Amino acid sequence: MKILGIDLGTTNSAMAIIEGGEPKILENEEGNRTTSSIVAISKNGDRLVGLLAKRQAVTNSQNTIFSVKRLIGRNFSSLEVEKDKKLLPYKITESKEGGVLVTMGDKTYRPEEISAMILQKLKHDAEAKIGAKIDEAIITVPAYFDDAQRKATKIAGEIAGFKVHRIINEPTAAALAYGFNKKRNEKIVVYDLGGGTFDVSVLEVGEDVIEVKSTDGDTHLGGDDFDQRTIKWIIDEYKKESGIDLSKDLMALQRLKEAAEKAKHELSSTLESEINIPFITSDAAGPKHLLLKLTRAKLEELVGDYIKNSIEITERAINASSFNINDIDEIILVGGQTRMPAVQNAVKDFFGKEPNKSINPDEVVAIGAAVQAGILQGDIKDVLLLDVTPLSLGIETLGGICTKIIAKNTTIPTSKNQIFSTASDNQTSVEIHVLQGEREMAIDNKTLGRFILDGIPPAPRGIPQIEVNFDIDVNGILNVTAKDKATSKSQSIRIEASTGLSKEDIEKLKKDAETHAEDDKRKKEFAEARNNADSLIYTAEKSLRDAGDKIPADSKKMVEEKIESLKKAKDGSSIDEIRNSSQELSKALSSIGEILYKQAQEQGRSQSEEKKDGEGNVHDADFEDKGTSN
Amino acid sequence: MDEENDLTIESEEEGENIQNKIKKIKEELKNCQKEKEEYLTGWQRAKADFINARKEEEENRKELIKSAEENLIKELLAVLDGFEAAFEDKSWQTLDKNWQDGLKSLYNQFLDTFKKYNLTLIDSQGKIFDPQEHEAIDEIEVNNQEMAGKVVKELRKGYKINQKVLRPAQVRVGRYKLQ
Repeated sequence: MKILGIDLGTTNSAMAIIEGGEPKILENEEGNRTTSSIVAISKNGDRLVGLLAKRQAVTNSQNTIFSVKRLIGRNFSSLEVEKDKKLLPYKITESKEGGVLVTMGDKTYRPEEISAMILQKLKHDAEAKIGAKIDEAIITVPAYFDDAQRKATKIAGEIAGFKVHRIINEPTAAALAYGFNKKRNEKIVVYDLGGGTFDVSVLEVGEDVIEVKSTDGDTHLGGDDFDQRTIKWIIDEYKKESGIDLSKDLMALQRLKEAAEKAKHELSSTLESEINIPFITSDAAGPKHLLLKLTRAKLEELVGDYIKNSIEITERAINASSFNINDIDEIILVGGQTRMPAVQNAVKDFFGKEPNKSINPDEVVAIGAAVQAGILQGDIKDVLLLDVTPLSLGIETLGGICTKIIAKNTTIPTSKNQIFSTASDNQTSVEIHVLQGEREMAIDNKTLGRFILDGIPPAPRGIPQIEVNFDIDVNGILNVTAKDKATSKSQSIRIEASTGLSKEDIEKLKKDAETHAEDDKRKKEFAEARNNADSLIYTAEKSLRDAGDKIPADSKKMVEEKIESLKKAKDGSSIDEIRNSSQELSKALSSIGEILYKQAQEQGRSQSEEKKDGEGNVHDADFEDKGTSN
Repeated sequence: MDEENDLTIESEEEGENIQNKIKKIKEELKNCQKEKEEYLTGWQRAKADFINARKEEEENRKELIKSAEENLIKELLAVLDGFEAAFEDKSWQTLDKNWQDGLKSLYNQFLDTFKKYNLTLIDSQGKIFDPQEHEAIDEIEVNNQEMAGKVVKELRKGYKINQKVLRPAQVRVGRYKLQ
């Protein structure tokens, strides 16, 4: 059983579903996360919904129905219908019952039938997306919708083939999306500035219900108005500059609209945007280009009165709710236009508090509807609530580095393996030092326990394979096992209190890691450079030993000198010196490698059947810094 | 039932006690079995969910790369528009031939690169208006009934990528006078 959460909007609609316990937006057939709330009957009788209906609207304006949400469940004689009738290009008539009828093609439809067509498309697309039938839905409506409007919306859902579980308020859905239903007695303001409408609601979270205390808004204020102002400004500026009026030039206007929208979006993250449309038009003197700078400040000035107006309406809603502005605990931003920094700042300044905006404002209502669906479905069962490890877990490796095995925020139960090796020749035991924390160096993290795995057969460093396994069970109990793969000998430790830290401790540790991040990184790099130097020296000495007198004395002496200088650098405190000396030694090694290789080749030529020995040994000890410390 | 019959009943009271105990244990067993069933199903589902999520993730990643490419190309279409506007300009023909050729080459270089990403042009001029590929910007009266409902003029080129409409062609549609 799947329940679809639907935000049936005036201009755009969106849908979401619970998947794996989490709400997720479903894309429509065209691959978009929102669907235009537009329906049309084309000239050859096809029914079009969404983007396709929008694209043909101009040629078929009388048979293209948009903003039907403004009419649903209303009386024909109501003031709102009276007003909208003048703004909407399609035919609106009175039904026998005093309701509204719209004409599309040669038929009349009730608004709920039009809404049903939108819902039907959403249903169809959602089913195609998840590959299963969806018969149930939760649909959101504005908080100010009266009983008749809610009923009509429910009927629309039923016509579309849904069992409509619930009609919920859009602001309530937004609060659910943020999980605020769990915060008893909180007072929440939802500020919703969409494409064409502005709504503000004051909510109070009660025992089991989120109550709408007051609601206000402007049914004709939204992002589209902001766009219009921007376009007008560009046209005016260009006229001032060149004397050419672009508002009559259809082709120019199209490019301009797109550029204006792009600039508006850009100015949400930058302070200045360049509107650059080359060859926008031409006159007797030749081609003309449009190049204007729009600053964020200018844009804010252009639409400042809209923002101010919305804040005044917000104030009105709070006054109507009997709460004080200081009582408000949370503010939620909904609607695409709330991405504009000036809108966010105006809201922040008004409340003296940072508004919630982490969930995509175009999707938050649909997400909330899906959350409500999840609650009804019982998807979120307590027994399935899985914990996460709050801090990373790992072991100490060569040079005092903390090598993380399980990263923080990993969902438990979980198990992770990693292979390590020894740090020196003929090392027969390793110490496993179990650590918890985010710092790069072992010494800065918390020790959870240590144990020794011994009985490792003597071998050159880097050869033994020690498998270290970290396993955390559902109760947060950590088992660390180290096993020598050659002998299968193993040793382990069980740590009960691996997650037994208070919230404050965890936060403090995480903060520590953040503040020391730079310093820690340097320390780690230093330790790694030393480890590399160490293994390079080891390789070099081994090569010299193995090659014996095959290497000319002067080459041998050169390598020995480089080894000495790297040894000195390794004990020093300059990371660059270690790196430079390492590089030089590495170069010297390659050159003796070449000599050995040539010798081997010559030998090979004279004794072509004999095995060549020397060549493989120069580069083989190239293992990385995975030696466990000891 | 069998277990009950196997028991020797000492006295009636004790018997009743045992009966109760058995009943309780049976009840517990039933709950345990139910719980086991529930947990096993939950576990299987979680495992299946994980496998499915991983497959989906793989798909999503492919999609993401594709859509990142598409977005970049979509933004760059504005450059092609600029070139086309230049070629359409009245003074284009007055330009030195070498300059014309050079700029055309630049334009073609762009187009060729995009073609590698399966970008194709939408053919609209004179075609029947189709909202799948065209976006109507305005209508114009035509004297010829033939041109009614057809694209009279393409205002901005449309493009498809991987058979999907990346940007519809913006067009002017004919409307027959008598309609």
